[in-house]
Amino acid sequence: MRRTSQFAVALTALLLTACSTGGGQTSSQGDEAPLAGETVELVVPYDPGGGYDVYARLLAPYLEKCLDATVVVKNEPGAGGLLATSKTFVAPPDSLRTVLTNTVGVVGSQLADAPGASFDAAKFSWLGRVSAEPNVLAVAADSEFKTFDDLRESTKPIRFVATGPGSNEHVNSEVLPELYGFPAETITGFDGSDSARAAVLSGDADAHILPIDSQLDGIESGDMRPLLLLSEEPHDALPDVPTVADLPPEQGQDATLDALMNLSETGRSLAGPPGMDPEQMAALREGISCALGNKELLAKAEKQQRDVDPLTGDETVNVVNEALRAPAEFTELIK
Amino acid sequence: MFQTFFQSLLDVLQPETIAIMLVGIAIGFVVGVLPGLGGSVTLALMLPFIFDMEPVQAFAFLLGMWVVTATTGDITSVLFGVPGEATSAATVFDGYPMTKRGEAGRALGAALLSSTQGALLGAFFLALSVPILRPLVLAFGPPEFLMLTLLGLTFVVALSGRNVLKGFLMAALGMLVALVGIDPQEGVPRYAFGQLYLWDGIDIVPLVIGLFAGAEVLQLMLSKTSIATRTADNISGIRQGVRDTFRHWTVVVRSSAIGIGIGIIPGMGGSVSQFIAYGHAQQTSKHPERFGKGAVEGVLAAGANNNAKDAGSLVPTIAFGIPGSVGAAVLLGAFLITGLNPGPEMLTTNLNITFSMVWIMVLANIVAVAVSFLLIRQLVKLTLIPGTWLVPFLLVLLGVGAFTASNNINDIFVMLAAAALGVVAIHWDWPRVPFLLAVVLGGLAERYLFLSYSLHGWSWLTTPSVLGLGALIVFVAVWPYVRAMRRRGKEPVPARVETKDNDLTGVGK
Repeated sequence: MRRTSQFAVALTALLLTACSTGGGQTSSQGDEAPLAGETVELVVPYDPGGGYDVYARLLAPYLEKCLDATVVVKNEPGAGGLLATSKTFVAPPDSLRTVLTNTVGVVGSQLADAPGASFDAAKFSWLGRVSAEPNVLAVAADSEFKTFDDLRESTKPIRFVATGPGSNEHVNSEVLPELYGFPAETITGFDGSDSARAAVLSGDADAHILPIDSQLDGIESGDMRPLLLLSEEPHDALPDVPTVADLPPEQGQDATLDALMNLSETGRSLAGPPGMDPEQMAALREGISCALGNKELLAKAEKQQRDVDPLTGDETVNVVNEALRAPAEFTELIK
Repeated sequence: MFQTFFQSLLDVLQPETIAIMLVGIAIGFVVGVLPGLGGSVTLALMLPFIFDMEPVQAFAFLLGMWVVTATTGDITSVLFGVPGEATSAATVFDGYPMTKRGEAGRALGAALLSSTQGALLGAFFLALSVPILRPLVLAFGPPEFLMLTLLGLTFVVALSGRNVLKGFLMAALGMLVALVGIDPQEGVPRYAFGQLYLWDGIDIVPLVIGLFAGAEVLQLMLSKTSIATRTADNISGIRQGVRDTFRHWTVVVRSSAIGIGIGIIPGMGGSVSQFIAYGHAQQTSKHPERFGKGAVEGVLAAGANNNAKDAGSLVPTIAFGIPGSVGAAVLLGAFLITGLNPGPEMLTTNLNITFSMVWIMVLANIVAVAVSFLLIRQLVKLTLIPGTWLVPFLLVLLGVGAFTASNNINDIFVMLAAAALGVVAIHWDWPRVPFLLAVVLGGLAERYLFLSYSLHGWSWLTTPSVLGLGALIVFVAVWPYVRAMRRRGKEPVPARVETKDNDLTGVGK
């Protein structure tokens, strides 16, 4: 009996250690780094395994080195990413809680006045942008649509797939047909981009708009055919795919196109709670810039085909504010 | 192809690869036993370690770890009634009552060996399906998925045995709970009461933990005894558990088949298939009334299913880069890191890597189960610890298990509410499984109904596959009554229709 209870105690101890890793380590290590010895939370608003999770776990060790602090990656899925973002909005300003936001979704849902957008994107303490991959429109490799012009000339509605209203996929699928003036419908309700792609591959739907890093594996395996890059400049990974600069939209749609481009510029960005202490904010901004400039991190990102396209904190604020100034005709489309 | 198949075994058997796999297995073993720490989260944590590995080594490490969590998760489910993994929840239904009866050794033997058998069948299927992998995945769409969830829901009602009405009402309550959250079609929050937490609906993990484990721990607290008051002779218990897997081999095979089938469907999620397999095992058993009270077939169904499912979820991952579960989604990251493109290449130039995954699943499971069998005697003794000693430890497990699902304190409240419901259900003898199944399947049924309609209008209703599945649903619903009526015609009516003999397949035992 004694041996068994000792075993139980040992198990409990093991469990407690497992829980407390990353807990408070507050031993200060001199005054060279303002956040030395502190614990910074890096919240991923989605389940493990997705793009945001990959970026956060890639960034964390380098951010630790640059800040001389402990960085804990935490998954807080919920409400399509808005739950963790809203929690950050009301977090204490000194909580050192940062969230890697789907800024397109955050700004988009605020513009669309979606239920659940209980925050003001302009008020977050923006700490920097990690990446902003352009979106790619792709169809199945065996689709009847060989070029984007085929799609534009279609008389029957093009069927786009998307996870849910407010998602990046959904915003783009609603706006693009308007820009180019072709009939379309968006089928929502898929539980993830992967199931949505399955519907395109099986021929149940026609087209799918996703950020390039999510689209690339399907393109390289020969399952998907890219038709349009939703960007004004070409991308190294898909040099032959036409951009919106090559295929200009209908007349009078410039403002809408600009709004869409501005929105995608916000990309994956790091935010802290509003009203963060200026010294803490400066330290975090510097640490993030330092980590995103690390050669080893960049090499690892390239190996995973993940773009890194950093912006400083100030630049991120500008990009977010620019996107928030979208004209009414754009916000009407994504509502 | 055969040469590649055996060549890939040699790849896996390289000393360095084996060493890496053993490390993965050891991590997976601990993670599986501890509730809360999920297999997919751990996979994500381990992803950075594979940057410098060869593809086969990377999969030996990650896949070895992942398949082992599914096996060892059953240990905690059986011994303490707390699922070690979300995918081991159905093992609790009958494994824990067996432990309370003193048959922990038998339950563990059955759970572990059926897990290995499920993994072997799943791996076998994965190897066999290589030539037809791609058409197989595309053959099914939302209409077929909808019919499968309806089939699961039909099992629900049949699950309740003698209390069809009680079961039906619990299922209806479950459907209501499934409505909570953002509707998948229009993005409108339902029954969320302004709480963002409720937007994603009620999470299955805290619900399972509260409904089953929470309720049991409360009972243990009140009874002030140990989980088991006696244990049968362990060694003969284990032997009996092992024999059970062969005696009920049809349950093992069919549950594995269900696991593979549901694993292939992206989005059905790993935690669903165990319940469908469990429901099917009860439906086809000669003694459905014993389920939930310690029927070894229930343990076998859950154990075999959950390992076979992992193999199934690899099928669309390898074929298209479309993961069949969260764990497979993390593995997809490993494909990219090691420079592999899921898709046709995996079946041609990289065929050896695909086959090496088959071998890794087989070897990792065999190692994990062999180690578990060595530990069973010690583990079973844990159930003799007095409740007053064990309860604080179990409460920690419950809290951590519920909390780590999404790192949200509200999960604890859901778990406590579910525990209260569980106690009420036990006290007045209302079945809990139909409720849980309806929560899981209700949301999926809605999603696939809307998707089927927006993709195909109403034309999907008349496709052969949907009609075939529809006929199967009607058959499952009606068969018990037909059988009972036929028997009534032939022989004098027994006072209590206790043994509903409704073996669907006619294979029998």
